[in-house]
Amino acid sequence: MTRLAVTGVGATSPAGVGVSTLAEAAALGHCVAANPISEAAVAVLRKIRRSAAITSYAVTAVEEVLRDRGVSDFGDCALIAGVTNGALNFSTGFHHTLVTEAKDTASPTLFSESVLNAPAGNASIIFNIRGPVHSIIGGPSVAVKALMLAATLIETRRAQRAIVVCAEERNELSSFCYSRLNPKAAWVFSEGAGAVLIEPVDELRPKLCTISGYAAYTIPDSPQLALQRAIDGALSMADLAAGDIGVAVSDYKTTPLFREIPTLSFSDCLGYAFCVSSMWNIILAAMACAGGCPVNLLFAAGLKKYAKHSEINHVIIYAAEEDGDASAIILSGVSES
Amino acid sequence: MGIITSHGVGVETNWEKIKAGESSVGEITAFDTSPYRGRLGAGIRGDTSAPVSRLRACRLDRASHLLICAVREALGEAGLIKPGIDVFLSLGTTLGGMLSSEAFHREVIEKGISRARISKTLDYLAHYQAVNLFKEFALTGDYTVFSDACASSANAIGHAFGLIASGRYDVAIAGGYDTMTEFTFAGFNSLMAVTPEICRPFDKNRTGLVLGEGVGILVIEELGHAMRRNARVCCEITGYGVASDAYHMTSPDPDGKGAANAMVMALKDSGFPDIGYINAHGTATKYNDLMEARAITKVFSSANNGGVDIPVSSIKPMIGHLLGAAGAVEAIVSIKAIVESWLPANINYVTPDPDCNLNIVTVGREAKIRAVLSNSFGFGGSNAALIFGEYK
Repeated sequence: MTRLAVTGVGATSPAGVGVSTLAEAAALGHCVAANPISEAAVAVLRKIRRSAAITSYAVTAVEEVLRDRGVSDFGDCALIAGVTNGALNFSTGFHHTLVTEAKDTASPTLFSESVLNAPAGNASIIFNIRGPVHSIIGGPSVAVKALMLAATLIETRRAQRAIVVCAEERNELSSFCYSRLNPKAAWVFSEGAGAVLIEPVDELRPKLCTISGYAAYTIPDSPQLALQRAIDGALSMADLAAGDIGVAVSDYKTTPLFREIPTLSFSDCLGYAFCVSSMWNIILAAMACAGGCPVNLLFAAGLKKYAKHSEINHVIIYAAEEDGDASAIILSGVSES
Repeated sequence: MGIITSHGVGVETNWEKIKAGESSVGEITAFDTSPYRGRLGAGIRGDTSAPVSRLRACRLDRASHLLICAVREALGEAGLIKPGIDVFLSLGTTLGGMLSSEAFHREVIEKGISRARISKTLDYLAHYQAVNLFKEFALTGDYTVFSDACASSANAIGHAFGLIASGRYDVAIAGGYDTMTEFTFAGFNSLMAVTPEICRPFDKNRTGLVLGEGVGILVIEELGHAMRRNARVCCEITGYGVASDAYHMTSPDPDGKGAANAMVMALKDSGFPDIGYINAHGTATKYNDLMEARAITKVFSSANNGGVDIPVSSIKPMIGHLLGAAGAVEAIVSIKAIVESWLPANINYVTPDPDCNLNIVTVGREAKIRAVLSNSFGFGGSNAALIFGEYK
């Protein structure tokens, strides 16, 4: 099995553009003033000015990943986008036109930019990514599933590396529906994107962390069992025991699973953005594994009552849904790889 | 294998009509088409509700009903109604439960948000249909739902093939689905891609595509696993290629580089077999057919010393463009072509286009076929190619 590493990260969040703002917000527990957007990102966004918000978030995050890693040739690169709801503002706009206005005046741009693969398609065009480009749909588990798909493409030699991006945009109608369907959930909906670059482990290539294990499992009748199997699968692949894990990260929909292991959630400060929340968790964990400041402060704050966890070697990030769909991924510090 | 299209329910029903060169394209009755450029479509007629035992039928989108019917046929044929092992479900769709979303949105506009039926959204998102299959068939395992436009289900099959080849799973249920919605119909009309007349891929006078709806499902199994349980093997999947155009959201790269790359990758994966038939994507839009013809010519003229005499056809004039289901239904037709030794016709083809210089199958005929290449291309520059080989 090909050993993989996270070699670049990028994010757009309520805290602003860039992983540094994401990490600062997570460490402080609230969103800080956004950093100015980079000139490179501005230039990229100009090219997609007619696209939906979800596409601009995805493209901005991918731009940061590529700039972070310094990659310029993407002929052998895959791009996997994870999406939960898609470009809902454009699709509701198109629906609205069909119901209330002359049908033959419906905008082709609203249609073509509302398709579920618009973020990935636009990103592939802008960055000239000619390898496999996929969009996969799902809830919070789709972030790990997208990484698993990327890993399969690298393993089967259909790509040499892969960018995995998750993106979502807020929509008034969908927020209303989710809140009405889950009145007790008390969600604060959020939006943005998170992206990582994964490549085979190479001693000469700088990396944030290695990907030690991952698994996804679906059992609609028993969501808890599905999550347990996903975690067991990830631990087994990583050849680790639960006690080896330093910290767990999940979103606030998920009940903490481990008694012994501190479980962190960043949803209180970043909001809930479906699959993007899971990707933000992965990015923050990757930065923590790399010892990146200020993420280490965040983990220190979260871990202060667990004195023995002074160092983070392995982080598990998991997501679970009420419909029995669960996933888990373990990231390990470079010294552990 | 399991199929539902405008031709009817079931692989044999569909195959007999495809073999006969029949078209199920007609006037769309599901919604008012009078404001649009095109009025034809290939909708599924008759009762499409699936008998369900573990789900509430009234809560399901039409997509889930169709999907459950086709999966039941496929699992039944494979002798795996109760798989008893973890399976990987790999689906492709462009719309998911869009019909439910359309109905909900109409109610929001007409009655107000607080009076619209929230239950209409329960089967809207594109992964809910996959979860419904897990519930109805008591499956365990994992799933991935691809939304790569019209290449969705070809990629779903390709990914399942990759997972089985790498030993992660022994059994996968793979395919795709999409329903006829006004959203899509209006969208393709706004792009001037829908024909006001008949669909005639690769014809010089082609004027666009006809939309359809349907489902195609394949049970893909590791060969040793299938043999150990004495399953009937229809064919082998031998190659999969995938590449992106990186060119434009709605227009294909005119040179067909991405499409050619996908075909070459699939051929390499498959060990360059003797392709006896190419099941083309063949939408009948001006630019897509031209791009595909160029890509096929580029790939096979170099492999075959300049000549592209491999028979090529598109089945879209018979059952319409099934979007996310197209790759899966065409995969099944490709497999039947091998098993039944029959080349399906590219019906409605009258005037050759000198720019699409392919060996078009104008009339269906018998032919010994050892390997088929099936192409699928989509919005956003998605290109996928699958190769199916005779099982010996």
